Amino acid sequence: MFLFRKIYASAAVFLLAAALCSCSQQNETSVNDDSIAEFSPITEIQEGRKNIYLIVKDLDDEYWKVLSKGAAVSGNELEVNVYMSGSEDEIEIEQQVRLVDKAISLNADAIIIAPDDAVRLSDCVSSIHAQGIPVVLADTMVNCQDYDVCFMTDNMLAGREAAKTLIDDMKKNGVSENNEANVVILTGAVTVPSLNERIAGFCGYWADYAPADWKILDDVCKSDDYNDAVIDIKDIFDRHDNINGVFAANYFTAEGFADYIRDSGRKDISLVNFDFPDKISELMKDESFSVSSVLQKNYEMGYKAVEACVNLCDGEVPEPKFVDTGILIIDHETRNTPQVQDILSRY
Amino acid sequence: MRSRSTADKMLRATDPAMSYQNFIITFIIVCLVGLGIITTMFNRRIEQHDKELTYDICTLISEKMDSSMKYMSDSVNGCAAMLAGTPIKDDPDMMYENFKSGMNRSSMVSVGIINNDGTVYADENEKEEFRKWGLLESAKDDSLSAHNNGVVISTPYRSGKTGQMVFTIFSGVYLKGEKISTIFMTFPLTELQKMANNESMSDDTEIWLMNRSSDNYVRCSGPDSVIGGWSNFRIYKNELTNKDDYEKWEKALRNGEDFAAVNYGVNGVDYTQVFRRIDFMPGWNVVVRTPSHSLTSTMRPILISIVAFALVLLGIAIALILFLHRKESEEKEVFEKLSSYDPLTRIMNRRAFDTRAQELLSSPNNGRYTFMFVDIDFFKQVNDRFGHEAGDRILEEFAITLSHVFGKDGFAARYGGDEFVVLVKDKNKDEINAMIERARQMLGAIIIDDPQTPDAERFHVHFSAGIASFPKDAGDFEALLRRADDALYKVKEAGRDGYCWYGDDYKKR
Repeated sequence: MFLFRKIYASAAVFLLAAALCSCSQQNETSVNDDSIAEFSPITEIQEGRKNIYLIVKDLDDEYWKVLSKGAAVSGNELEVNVYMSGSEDEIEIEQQVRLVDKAISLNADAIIIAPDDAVRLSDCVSSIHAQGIPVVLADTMVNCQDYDVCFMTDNMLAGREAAKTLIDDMKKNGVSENNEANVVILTGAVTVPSLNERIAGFCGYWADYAPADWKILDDVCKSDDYNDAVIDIKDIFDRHDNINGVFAANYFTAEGFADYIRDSGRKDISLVNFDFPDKISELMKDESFSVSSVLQKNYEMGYKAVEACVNLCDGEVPEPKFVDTGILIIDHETRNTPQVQDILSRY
Repeated sequence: MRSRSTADKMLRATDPAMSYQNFIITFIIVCLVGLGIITTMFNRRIEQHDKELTYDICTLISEKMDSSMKYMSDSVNGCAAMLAGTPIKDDPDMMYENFKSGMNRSSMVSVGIINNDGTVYADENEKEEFRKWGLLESAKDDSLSAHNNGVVISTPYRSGKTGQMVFTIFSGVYLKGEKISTIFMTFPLTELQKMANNESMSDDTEIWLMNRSSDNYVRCSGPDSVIGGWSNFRIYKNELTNKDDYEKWEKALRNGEDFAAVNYGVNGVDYTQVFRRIDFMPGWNVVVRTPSHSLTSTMRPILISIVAFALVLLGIAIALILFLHRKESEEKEVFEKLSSYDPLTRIMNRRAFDTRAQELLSSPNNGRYTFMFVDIDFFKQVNDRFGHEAGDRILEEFAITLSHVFGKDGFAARYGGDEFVVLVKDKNKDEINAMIERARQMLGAIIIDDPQTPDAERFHVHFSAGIASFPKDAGDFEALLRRADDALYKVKEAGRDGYCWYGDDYKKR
């Protein structure tokens, strides 16, 4: 009888612990540990230091590599161990859930996560918070308040800045405020909240400050893949021959449009884009093209996230809770300034 | 050619089978059109119902938001009035400290004061928001406050302090009609968003706060979306199935109308979308968007049931019509047979033969025909000697023989009593003669008597026939009949059991 009671008690404790500790159970995942990438150290590892786990969206993507560089520099400076892993792709939500479980099982002192999905990973982030482990968001917000601090671009503001830049660039490119002009938005995947906020910021600013006859076309390119974006962009320009400005809200549409503008030689079109693919960099070298890029400070996101983790581990309450890491707008004139070169060197 | 085509049409029009088909087709078309009209009316009613229901939801939420905004605006105005009466109005620092400490900030993110020279008295985070979002410019815009309960309301923005969406309300502090400063209070947007949460609503219902000029909207409630996040409807506009109606809706929104409703489809889902103005938040509207399937989930099965029931009824009606038609056809066939065929010999009767022969012999161009009048010789003796049953049998055998011999090239009919007629097409005289001989042989083999009766005493079935050719001997059926009858008369005069062609001399063999 005593033996049975002991077995029942052990099972109950095990189940309770599993329910409390596991993100994956809440998300009903069936992904095996084998399917996730192991955490790799990105700083010098030493015994006795705090262990911080960084989980990114896409391990192979340059954007996340830059963010991890910032985290690594910060980790080394602050003498903490930083390990990094991530999902194979931004749609592999369950992989991030498993990585969170893994980090918890490895006794993480703090977790930095760039959530693949702002809605579906909310419960997972809440569960980390509920266990008293500091959780810091990088690049993307979640749909809950159960995190300690978030470092990201305020995409609404960034979108507004992009609109402001495009209006200025179009004027410089010879488009009169009194003439009719058309602008097209290349949105990328509209299911991504940060892209939605960029578009909203852009449209909000445009409605308030653009000349009355400068319109945004309803035709948008939603491709989230370079090849599709190239086709969509060509289609849009075949349908409209009076486009004076383009806002490319993500990496792939910017790349696609860079090809279009270079091949067609359309120097009458001004482009403002997010991120800084090589094709944009090449195009920007030619001053006859009107190109400006909005750079996010992903290096700072990684750097400050580790810094915040250390402070949180020391019991400090971060203020503010949402940190807009800001943006940098570069064009042909500013790209060679020391400040911009310093930032570009991190890319 | 034209007259023939008209005749064909007339023939077809009077064809009973054709008119029956037309009736069935018309019946089905009428039923389907009726069903289509009912379905369309039902769908329109559903769309209207969706709009009305969504409008009711939207009205409820906008009224709640309006009340909430009015309450918040009144609070800010009340604070401004209170501060105007304080003796420390010339010391902004102290005024700010008093204001801050005197406020119950549980429902607020921050408060502060802006001097007329633009100096902001607030915590450092709030000052940063002022810089980032250009809030100072909003605060200075007295023209906005004139139309809105004396306050200015900022566009929602993400607060650095909380990470949540917030909005700031500004109100001027006036002393003796002179504006001495402006106060502001920042509220979390959740104060408004929670007005949109209603457990009785479907999970699929989306509620947005939409800006009138830019199509920007903030999500307040809805499935699988970042609550509080910004978006812009422009990115979906080109994919709408009902873009014209949406543009009318959008125009009504831009014009600041009180409300408007629209139905459209996007990415395979039909939506009903309604906006209502928020009077105490100028430039902003509550938008409720609901997938039609969630609104009409109870009504749609009713429509499906009605359509299914109507189709079943239609099917039964068609089956019944087909059944009755078949029965009628069968009866008609029996009647037709009875009226066209001789019931004893089962070959054509006189009426049917006349009709058919007149049709065939209506023109000399219709071909060559040979007509025969055939009488069974001494048939009365058969009835008298062997009885009527034997007579009937002779008639049957005679009809079978004629049909057998001439049926391949023509047709035979019982013209009356023991009289038969035959019409054969495209056969020459020799061929006809050969056929007659064959018939004679076949009939000769019929035995009516007792088999033991000696052959000399037996009754032998034989016949007499008069023959005339068309169009050689006559140009119409009546004349042809008379010519054949004349030829038959010659045979009968000569003692029967023979045949004679019209115009030939007949000699008994």
